[in-house]
Amino acid sequence: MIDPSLVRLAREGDVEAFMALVGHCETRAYRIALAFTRNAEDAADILQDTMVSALRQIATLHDEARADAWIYRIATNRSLMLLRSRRRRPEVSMDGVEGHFDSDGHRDGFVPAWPVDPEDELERRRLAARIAELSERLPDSYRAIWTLADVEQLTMEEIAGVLELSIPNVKSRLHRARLALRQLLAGELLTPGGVS
Amino acid sequence: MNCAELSQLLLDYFDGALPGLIAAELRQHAADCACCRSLVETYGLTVRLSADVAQAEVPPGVAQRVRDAVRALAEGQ
Repeated sequence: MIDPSLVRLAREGDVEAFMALVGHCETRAYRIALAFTRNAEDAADILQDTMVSALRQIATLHDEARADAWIYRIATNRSLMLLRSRRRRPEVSMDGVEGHFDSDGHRDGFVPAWPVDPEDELERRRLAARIAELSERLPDSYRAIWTLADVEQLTMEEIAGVLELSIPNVKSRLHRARLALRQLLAGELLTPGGVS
Repeated sequence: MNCAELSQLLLDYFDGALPGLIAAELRQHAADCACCRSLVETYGLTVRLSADVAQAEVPPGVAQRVRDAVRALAEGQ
């Protein structure tokens, strides 16, 4: 966590204190932007825009102890704005992503195993790259939570702070995002020649 | 535990947030049910693959550019 006294100094106009805040947050803010845009130039632009916006707005920051979450929220919002301005792949429907169950709670339908070796590092790397591509098909709010939780490894509390959502809401959307990604990847893995 | 209940508990299971007894019930159901066994394995693999998505460092040129832009704005304010 960032030192609140440093943030206080930055709020009072101390440029070096603000630079220290930049240094503390830039890696994660850049990775968030990169995870959304999957483009290094866009991520660099978003990072710069995020830090410039943060400097402009720092007087409005009320909770000094959560300055990092505030900066990640700016980076997330900037990333989502950029994505919305561009044409995207069709979004996957989140309806029925949990599967269907009978009145006794037994699953309707079959869940096949995947023909992959999770211990094969090359295969895992290839599938991780594919899952990043497939994440582009998640609705924005789900993709944001999946990015922050499963790629950036923020805690539920941190994500709730960044996105200004309740923890149950974050958990519910993360679960559905994981199920949707699982389903998308399964669709490719179980189709001959699906993942290349 | 049934399939619907197991499905609802997966997030907490993989985040290590389930009480031990419930986690054991979940594992027992998965051992007895091929569909849920596949779901647990592939859900877990999805989480693991997501953590393997490439992590980048800020390129030095970008870090400098950001600092220059921030400093220019600060000096102009």
